[in-house]
Amino acid sequence: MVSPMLFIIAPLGAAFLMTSINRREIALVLSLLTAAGLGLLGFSWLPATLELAQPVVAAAIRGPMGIALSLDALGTALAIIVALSTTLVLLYSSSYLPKGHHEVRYYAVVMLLMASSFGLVLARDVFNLFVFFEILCISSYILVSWEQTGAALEASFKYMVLGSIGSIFILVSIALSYHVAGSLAMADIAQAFRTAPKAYGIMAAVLFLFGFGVEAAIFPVNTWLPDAHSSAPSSISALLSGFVIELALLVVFRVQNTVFATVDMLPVLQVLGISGVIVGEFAAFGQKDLKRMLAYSSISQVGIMLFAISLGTTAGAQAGVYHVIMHAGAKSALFLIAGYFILRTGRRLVEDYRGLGQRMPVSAALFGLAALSLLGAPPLFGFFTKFMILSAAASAGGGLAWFGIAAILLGTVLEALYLFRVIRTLFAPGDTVATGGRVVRAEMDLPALVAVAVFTALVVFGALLLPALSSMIGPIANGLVTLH
Amino acid sequence: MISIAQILYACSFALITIGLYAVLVQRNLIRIVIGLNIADLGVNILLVTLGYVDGGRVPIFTAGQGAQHMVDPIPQALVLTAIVIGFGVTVLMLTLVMRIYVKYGTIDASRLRGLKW
Repeated sequence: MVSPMLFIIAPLGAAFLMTSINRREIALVLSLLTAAGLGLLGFSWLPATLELAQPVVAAAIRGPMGIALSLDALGTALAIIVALSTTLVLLYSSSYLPKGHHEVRYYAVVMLLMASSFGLVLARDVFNLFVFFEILCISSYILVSWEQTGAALEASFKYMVLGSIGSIFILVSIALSYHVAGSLAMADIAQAFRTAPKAYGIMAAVLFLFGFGVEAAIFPVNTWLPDAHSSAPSSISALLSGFVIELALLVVFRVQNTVFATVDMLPVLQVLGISGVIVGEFAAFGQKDLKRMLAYSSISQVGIMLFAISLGTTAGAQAGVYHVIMHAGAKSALFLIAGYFILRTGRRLVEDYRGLGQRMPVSAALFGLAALSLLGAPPLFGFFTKFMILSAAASAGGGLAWFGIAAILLGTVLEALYLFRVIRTLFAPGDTVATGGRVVRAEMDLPALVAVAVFTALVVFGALLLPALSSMIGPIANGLVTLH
Repeated sequence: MISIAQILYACSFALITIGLYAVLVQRNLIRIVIGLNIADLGVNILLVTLGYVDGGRVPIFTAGQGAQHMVDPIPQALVLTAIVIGFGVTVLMLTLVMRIYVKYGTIDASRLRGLKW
């Protein structure tokens, strides 16, 4: 069996290789092959990791001071989501990105983003987690500022300031954990916190949550997100909204449940999740810029996931993971289509897209389908994931859970209002040409259309996969529930 | 009697606080970067102090001497990594500040109009 190390080595190697060759076609093919190949590798490992109670361990250096990397069922599932999303987004980028010599560097940085995402799910000691987190952040900063417009540069700087503060908090949390445990391995730290004074555990857990919460867009520290996700190139918005914030969120839970298991943070996380839902939906409702609207909607969707998983029940964690899969598909599709709306019209505001559905009927229809699934309209995939979250909350009971249900339902109403506003504008009579936009020539280019169609098919027909997924979801969601 | 480690802990928390305060209060982008660097420095001092042993030796094994009174080498390895990462982030931030200056002719955050601050 090949080592899980391959997940980190292959994209890093590809990134260095393509920058030294410096040819656009080679960079594209190499990155596509790497992403798709690792996705297939993940699929081939899935059955084995589902059956094993113990994760597959690969250590670069063995022993208590060694570097431990390991792949469990949750890690494999996340790795598959990351690899497949990246493959599709690369396919989209091949036609979306303006041609030029910077293209090779773009593909190289996307490979770095992918390598660090894999690293986050593989790392089993807190310091490696920190290093991969930093690589993830730095590649996101670079990709957000890619278009070098004023807004992109500012958004990237704002993101960097918050991200750097987050990493300072993570480092202090690591220092505290090392002081208590004398080791950096997650298992050792968890053991040490069971006997150490409770105050240490609480401090380390809060600092860690705050630090990682920046990347996971948890409610009070997510102010960078609407700027960064709306100013980035649309392909990057899709990656960042599609899996990067969700990945950080799941890592928060995994660390919370393994390392800081003695500290009960779940009620706090529930409150933060509910606040995220309410704030995100109200902010999205007020937006005129399509990509900003989608970015705020990501904040509320992350809030829903946070709420579901922090219910602390198996059903809640499973529903949360389903919602992560659904959101990865739906939000990626929406951002990717929005990218082509902007590319074709040169406009960003929803009102300027009047009648665009007549000139780009397929794109507009796919946008509508993905939006309906995000909203939770039956019988699309989004309906099932949202329904599972609501029923998990109802069976968990308690005042907070009912408050959360009310918040999600209110959020859905707001979401329906603003998403239908977009859909209605797209299919309204009238023409973008008349409103002064550029003449729209055509649909999305073929590679982009294929990528978007695959994402949309996932969220439309995802419910058909549920029987197959339900046999796997148990082991996958296990790592997210605290075992007291 | 206050030990050296206690003084260093106090220094590191003071530096972290000063740095974060600067980030929150300053409007000049360069000063924000400097504030982050000060806070980073505080964290690095904190990490090194964790491995400090009063009267300790350099953690290199030599003939005839065991591991007694060695300072802990792991926090030092962590600090090296953290310094390198901090350097990279600082360079990237300064590059962005430069580009922002070229674009807007100012590095005052309150006068940047692309976004709301």
